[in-house]
Amino acid sequence: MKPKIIKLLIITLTFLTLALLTKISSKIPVTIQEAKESYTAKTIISTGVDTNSQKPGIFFRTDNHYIPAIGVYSRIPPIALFGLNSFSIRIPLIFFGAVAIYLYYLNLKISGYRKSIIYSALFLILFSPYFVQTLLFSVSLVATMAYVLLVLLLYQKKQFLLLALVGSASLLFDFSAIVFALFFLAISLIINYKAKKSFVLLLLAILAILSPLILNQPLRQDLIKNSVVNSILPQSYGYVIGRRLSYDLTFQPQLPLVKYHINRLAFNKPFFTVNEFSKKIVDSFDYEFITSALKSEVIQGPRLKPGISLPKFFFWETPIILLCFILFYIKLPAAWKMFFYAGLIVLIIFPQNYFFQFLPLVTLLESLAIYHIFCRPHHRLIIGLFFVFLYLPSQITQFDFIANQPQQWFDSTDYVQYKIMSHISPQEIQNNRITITNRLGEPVFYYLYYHDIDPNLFLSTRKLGGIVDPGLQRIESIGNVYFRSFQYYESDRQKNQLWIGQEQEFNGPGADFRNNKVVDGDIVNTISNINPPEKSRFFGNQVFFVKTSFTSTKETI
Amino acid sequence: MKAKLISLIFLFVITLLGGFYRLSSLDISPPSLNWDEAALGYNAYSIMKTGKDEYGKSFPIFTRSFDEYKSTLPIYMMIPSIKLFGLNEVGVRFPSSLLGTLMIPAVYILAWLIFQKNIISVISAFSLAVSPWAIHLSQVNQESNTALFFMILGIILFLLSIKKHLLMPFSFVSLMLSMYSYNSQKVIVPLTFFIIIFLYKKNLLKYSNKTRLSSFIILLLFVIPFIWLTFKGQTFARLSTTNIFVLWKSEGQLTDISSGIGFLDFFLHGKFYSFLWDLTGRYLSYFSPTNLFLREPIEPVTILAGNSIMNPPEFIFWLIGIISFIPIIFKKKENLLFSSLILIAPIPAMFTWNWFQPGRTMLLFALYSVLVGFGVYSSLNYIKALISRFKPKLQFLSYSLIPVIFLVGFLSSIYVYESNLVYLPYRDFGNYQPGFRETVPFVAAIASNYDQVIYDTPQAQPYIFYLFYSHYPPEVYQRQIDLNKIGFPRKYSDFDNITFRRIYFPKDRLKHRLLLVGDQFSLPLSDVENASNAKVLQEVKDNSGNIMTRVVSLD
Repeated sequence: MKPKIIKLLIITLTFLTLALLTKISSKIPVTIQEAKESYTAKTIISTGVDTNSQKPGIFFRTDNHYIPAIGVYSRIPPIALFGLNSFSIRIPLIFFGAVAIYLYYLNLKISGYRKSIIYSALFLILFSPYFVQTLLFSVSLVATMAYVLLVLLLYQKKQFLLLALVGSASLLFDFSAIVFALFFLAISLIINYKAKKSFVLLLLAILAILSPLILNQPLRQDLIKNSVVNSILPQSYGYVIGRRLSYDLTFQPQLPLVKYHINRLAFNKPFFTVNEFSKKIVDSFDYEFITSALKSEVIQGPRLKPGISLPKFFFWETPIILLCFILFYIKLPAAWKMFFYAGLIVLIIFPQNYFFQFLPLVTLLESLAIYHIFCRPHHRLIIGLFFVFLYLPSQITQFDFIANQPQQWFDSTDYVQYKIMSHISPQEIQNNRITITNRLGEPVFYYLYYHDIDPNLFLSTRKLGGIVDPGLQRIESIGNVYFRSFQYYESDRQKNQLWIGQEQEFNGPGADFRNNKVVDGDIVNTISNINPPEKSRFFGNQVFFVKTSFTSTKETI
Repeated sequence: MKAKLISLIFLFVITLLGGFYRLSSLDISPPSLNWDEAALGYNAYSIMKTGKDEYGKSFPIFTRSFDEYKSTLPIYMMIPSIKLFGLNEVGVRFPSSLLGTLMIPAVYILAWLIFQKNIISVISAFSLAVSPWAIHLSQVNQESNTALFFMILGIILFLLSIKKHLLMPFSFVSLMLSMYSYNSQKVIVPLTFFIIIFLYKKNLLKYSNKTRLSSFIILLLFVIPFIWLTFKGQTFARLSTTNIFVLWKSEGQLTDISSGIGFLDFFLHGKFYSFLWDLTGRYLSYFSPTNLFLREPIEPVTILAGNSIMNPPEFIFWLIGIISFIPIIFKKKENLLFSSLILIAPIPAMFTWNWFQPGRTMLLFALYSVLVGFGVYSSLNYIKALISRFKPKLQFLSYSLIPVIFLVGFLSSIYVYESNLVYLPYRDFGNYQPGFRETVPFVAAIASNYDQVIYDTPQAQPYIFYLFYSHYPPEVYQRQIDLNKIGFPRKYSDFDNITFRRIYFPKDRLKHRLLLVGDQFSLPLSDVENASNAKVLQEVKDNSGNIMTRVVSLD
């Protein structure tokens, strides 16, 4: 086939895939990140300021963490054009997805790989489960992939001025991009320390990234909170040490060590730091989770891992990836090795979430392996069989899961919030006081997004509550709608209020769930099988919508 | 020579440390016996006293036990120990824990035979000595631990036999004993033989005819009864309840949606693919760092509270070990044998329904200890190479890694030990069928004063705990047991005046000369106090103060 036709085919395939994903994703509820980024974008469009009444800058604060600016800015045009809906908020995914693929293509081309290797790598990344799933939801992750590929491209082209400028722009992207850029530039700096001009440029870029992190304490703390550092700080496990030591006191076993307090050796901060750090590194290599999440989760029970639980790689890919890595890593160009090291540091600092940035490297290694095998004619049959009996069923199964069985894999918090919000009518919001529990995740931005609340109204009627972290403040209420956990029967109830919470939040005298009665109110709606987060599991597996009436339950009592 | 001596001193200290962790607390942790331990122990006691197992079979090769036909090698090994320590936790657990201790020098030798480096041998032995799995499972998984010991011994003897041919028959005996000891080994040992023959066919030809013939005869002596017992349904009896095919029916839940392509659904959308995923997922789960270093296993008996399979700081060396070993796999036969054993070790486990069951792949974990040793050695070389780039004279600094490793390993081992002695009995006592140890001797002492004893317990196989903790005379039990009545699979466990069933106090209280053993739900205190003929004789509480068993007498 002529190269032009192949190129055309790839472009068509890319856009068809992206369009298909956009179509599928429009049926799927938004994630909390999407809700925050989108509503911030809408607020900027309507008011010129963000959700904290600040002028738009390079960081955006929400109620409990920072969100990447790219997720906000990239959504401004589509939301301005099409309004706040799942189609408009996911259009940037197509853009960044296509840009990432194109930058990947350019990187492979400039690295001097054969066309067959380039095309197979493009094909593999485009249909990789990880890429497909990320394209459904996460603008900031896809944009970050495009960003890191751009950094790599500029380095390969030796355009250090642009590299320094682009490097500084990492602050607009995800935290992983900041760390990636920092380390990539640092490695470039070490390698190019003899070239004065590039040295100065790269140094300036590193300082440009570091200075906001040093000067902006809340941002720095949020970065630490999301990184491995948070887990290895003594305050994170001090209580674990105390708890473990306390067993000696409560249980009083026949333990010779206790007598001499030698067991302090096993419960001290330096050892725990080493231990916890090791655990965090292990977490990054949880290929069982990234290949068999559905299966292992079904069988092993809840894994307490946040997010979407579809496998990120096909189950048969793991040994292949490992082998490809060992066999072909050494043959990679220096720039790709730098890409690997910077990515590895990101992976260690932010376990789990950022294996995504490795994807271009993984698919490159896989395509190198395919090429290597394909060069031997008698092996082509093996590849053909492999394609028919493993690759095709895998893809079909994947799309089946994505399109037809979201309940198997979708994050339960997002799904429950979507259900809760769809059960609240605009009339209810306007006329009555509503209290929504925050035991199932902070509902504020889901509420703002799904009910498309006027940003001016939001800014004028919101009440801020306690400080979550330096610079980050909870939103307690917006107009008539309150966001907090509650003990229903002990709360200050008035007639015609709507209370939304887990079943145990309504427990108390007079509660009769079988007859839809609670004290002073009726259960008007129920959402079952909500699979709550671990910390809220004791509060039950159902959400109740209770309308206070002050008539029916008195009879029950 | 000096290095060898130092490494042997290290080995001695490490073995003492490992032995202390394994042998010093057998009666404390786990806090009571699980049903397999009780069954093994009572059958050993029975054979010791009468030459027959609980079902009256003389010196069996596999004993029926709970219809899964347990291997009897661990049982025979328990006899001297029970004679020495009595029929209790120490008597049951001592032989396996001793083998667990001997495994430390065995792994040292294995690592030496593969890599011929003192540092690798010492670190491998140290890793095994302080690994949570090795300490805990050597105490509670008698069958698999025994099998593991004989497996490693068999491989060592075989590798040694390449130079001293006479050792080959002994190697075969050891491997065959391993095969008879545990179910997983019934698959792994034959595969190991194939691998050995394939890799060492040229070496085997150099052995004398006498050696080969004697080895062959040993093989036949073991294999013939094995096949014969297979036809009798004993060898693979356990497989009928643990095999993965029980999942086949549930696959539809995930994939029962038609693709609309008719018969192609069979290939592209169906159970086969999902089932293949199940199998592969299980196989890979034994290589998953999260399962190995982070998460507690989910099988109750395999959990050492607060620990995973290996210590988390070992991960980095395990990973470096794998990465460094792959390029040298094909460099010599020992490397190929080592890697083949790693690859075959999870095969039996992948065909069972459990996702990750560490008790079935202990061989793999022992080999991982060797891999950790190799990882440390490779790390030292990497660091040395790195330092020599800048300051070749400072290469010796790389050795500072070794004391750091020993310090972290030692601290980890104290953590593991404390988990075993304090945390496990406190948190997971429920995994070990609690209550029998305290209740049964009391009940047994007065049982003859009553017409009937009714034992109500949520635990499975309560009869074996009664037999064990009451030291019930085996010859009496063998007389009482009626094989026709108990059926196959076993449905009936009553003997003498002991009946195992649910207590319904409103009805049972009307009877006389009855001893009831239940808990706070089957024998509520208020009901007992209201009954004029009832009297609470004993209550056993758990760590939190909840009543586990209550013994009530009805006059």
